[in-house]
Amino acid sequence: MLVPERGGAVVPVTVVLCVNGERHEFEIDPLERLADVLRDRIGLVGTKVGCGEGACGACAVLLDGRAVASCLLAVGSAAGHRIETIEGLSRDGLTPLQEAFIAADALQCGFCTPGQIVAATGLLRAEPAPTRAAVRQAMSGNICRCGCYPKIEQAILSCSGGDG
Amino acid sequence: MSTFCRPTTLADALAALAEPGSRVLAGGTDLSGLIDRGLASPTTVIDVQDAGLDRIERCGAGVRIGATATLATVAVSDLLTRWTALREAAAAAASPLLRNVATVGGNLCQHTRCWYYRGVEWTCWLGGGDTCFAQIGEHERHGLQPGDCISAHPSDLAPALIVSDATVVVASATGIREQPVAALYRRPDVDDRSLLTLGPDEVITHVVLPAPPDASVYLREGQREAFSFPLVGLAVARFGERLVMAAAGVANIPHLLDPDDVLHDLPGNPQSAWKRTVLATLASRGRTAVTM
Ligand SMILES: Cc1cc2nc3c(=O)[nH]c(=O)nc-3n(C[C@H](O)[C@H](O)[C@H](O)COP(=O)(O)OP(=O)(O)OC[C@H]3O[C@@H](n4cnc5c(N)ncnc54)[C@H](O)[C@@H]3O)c2cc1C
Ligand code: SF4
Ligand code: FES
Ligand code: FES
Repeated sequence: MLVPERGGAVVPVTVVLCVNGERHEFEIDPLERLADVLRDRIGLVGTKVGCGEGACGACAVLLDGRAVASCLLAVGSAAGHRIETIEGLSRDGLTPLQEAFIAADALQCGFCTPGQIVAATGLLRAEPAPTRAAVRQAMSGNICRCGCYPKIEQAILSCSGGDG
Repeated sequence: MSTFCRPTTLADALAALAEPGSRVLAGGTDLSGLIDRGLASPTTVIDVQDAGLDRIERCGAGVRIGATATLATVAVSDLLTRWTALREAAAAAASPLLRNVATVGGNLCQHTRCWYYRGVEWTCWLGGGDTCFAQIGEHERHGLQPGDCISAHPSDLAPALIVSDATVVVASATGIREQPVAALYRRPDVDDRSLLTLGPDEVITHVVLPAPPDASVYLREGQREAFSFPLVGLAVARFGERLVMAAAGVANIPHLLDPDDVLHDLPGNPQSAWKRTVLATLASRGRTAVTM
C-alpha cells in the first residue's frame, strides 16, 4: 500500500494506560494508536488490526465499558480511561459468551472473533437481554469476512436471555 | 516536531488553538485518518475531551448539546426525544464502535470521503491540485451539482440539525459567535478550497436547538443498511405548515432543498444522476412521514 509513514514526529510524552486493571507507563508519541500499543508494546495481540481505519471492528476494545475501535484512537486520548481487551475479558477462563461462540460454531478463521466478543460484551453489559434487532444494531460495526453472522447472532442471543 | 495536549478548560484549549498550526482532536475517528494519509499535519494536536464540552442540557424551549457529546449519547438522550430526525441521524451514522467516541462537533467538521481526496496517490483539486479526478474517473457516489469539486457531503448530523433550525456556538481566544449550522459550510473556490467557514483558531463549543419541530424524520440510503456513509441522507422537519428539507450526499456541503422542487439545482453528474431518483423518493416518503 502507498500509505506513508505518519507525517511529522510528535514529541513523546509520558502516557499512563490502565489496561485490564494493570498500569502501563510509556514515553511515547501520543498519536500512536491504541491498537498498536496494545499489540506491539504490551504484547496483547488478541486485539486484531483488520483495516486500520475504523471500518471493520477487529480492533474493538472496551473503553470505560463501551466498545470502540482502537485503531483510530490516539494513545494520548486513551490515557485515564479503563481499557479492557479480549485478554482481560477472559482472564479467569472463557466467559459464557465465548463458550456460546464455540457452541454455536460462530467463527471460521477467527480473525474477527476477539472484536466480535468485545463488542458483544459491551452490548450485554449495557443491555443484558437485548432483542435480535438490538443485537444486529449493536454488532453492525463488526465485519466478519467469513460470513458467520447468523451464528454470531445466535451465540449472543443464547447468552442474553432475550426472546429475540 | 509536533505536540499533543489535553487542556482541562475551554480557556486553555482556546489559548492553545490560537497558536498557528494547531488543530482540535475530539474522537479522532476522522482526524486520525487524515493524519495517517498526510492530509493533515498539525503542529499541535489539542484533544478537547477534558474541556467540559460534553453535556446535553435543557436551554429555554430547546436543548444545548456540547460539541464533544458523542453520537451514541445523542442517539439515546431523553432530552432529545422531540428531535426525531437528529436522534435518527445520530443512530444511523457510522457504526456503534465509532459512535461511542465520535462527537457532534467532529461529525459536523469531518472532511470529505471522496476516495480521490483521501487517496495518497493524488492531490486532487480540493486538496490544492488542478484536477477533480472524480469527474474524469469514478463518481457514482458523488454529488449532483456540477462544479470544481463534486464530492458528496458525508455528515448525517448536519442535515438533521439544519432542518431543526439549530445554531452552533463558535469560540476562539478573541470571542464567541453563534451562527446557523448551515453557515458552517461554504462552497470551495479557486482561492479557498476549504469546505468550512471556521477559522483555524476556532472551535465549536455547542450546538443549540431551539423549540422542537412538530414532527421530523431522517431517511437515508447507504450501500448497506448499517455502517456506510449516506449516499443520500434526507432530513425533513415540519413546523406547523412549514416544511424544511436538507440533504447530505447530494452536494459538497449540506444542501437545503426546496420542498416543492427538491431536485432544483441538482442536475446530477453523469454517473451520479441516479441519486436524483433516490432523493425524490426519500422526499416524498419524508413529506408523508411528517404530515401524517
Ligand atoms: C468507517 C467509517 C464510517 C463512517 N460512516 C459515517 C456515516 O455513515 N455518517 C456520518 O455522518 N459519519 C460517518 N463517519 C464519520 C464519523 O462520523 C466522523 O469521523 C466523526 O463523527 C468525527 O467525529 P470525531 O469526534 O471523531 O472527530 P475528529 O476526528 O476528532 O475530528 C474531525 C474534524 O473535526 C474537527 N473538530 C472536531 N471537533 C471540533 C470542534 N468542536 N470544533 C471545531 N472543529 C472540530 C477536527 O479538527 C477534525 O478536523 C464514518 C467514519 C468512519 C471511519
Ligand atoms: S470531487 Fe472534490 S474531493 Fe473528489 S476528486 Fe474532485 S475535487 Fe477532489
Ligand atoms: S482495524 Fe480498527 S476498525 Fe478495522
Ligand atoms: S471468522 Fe473469519 S472473519 Fe469472522
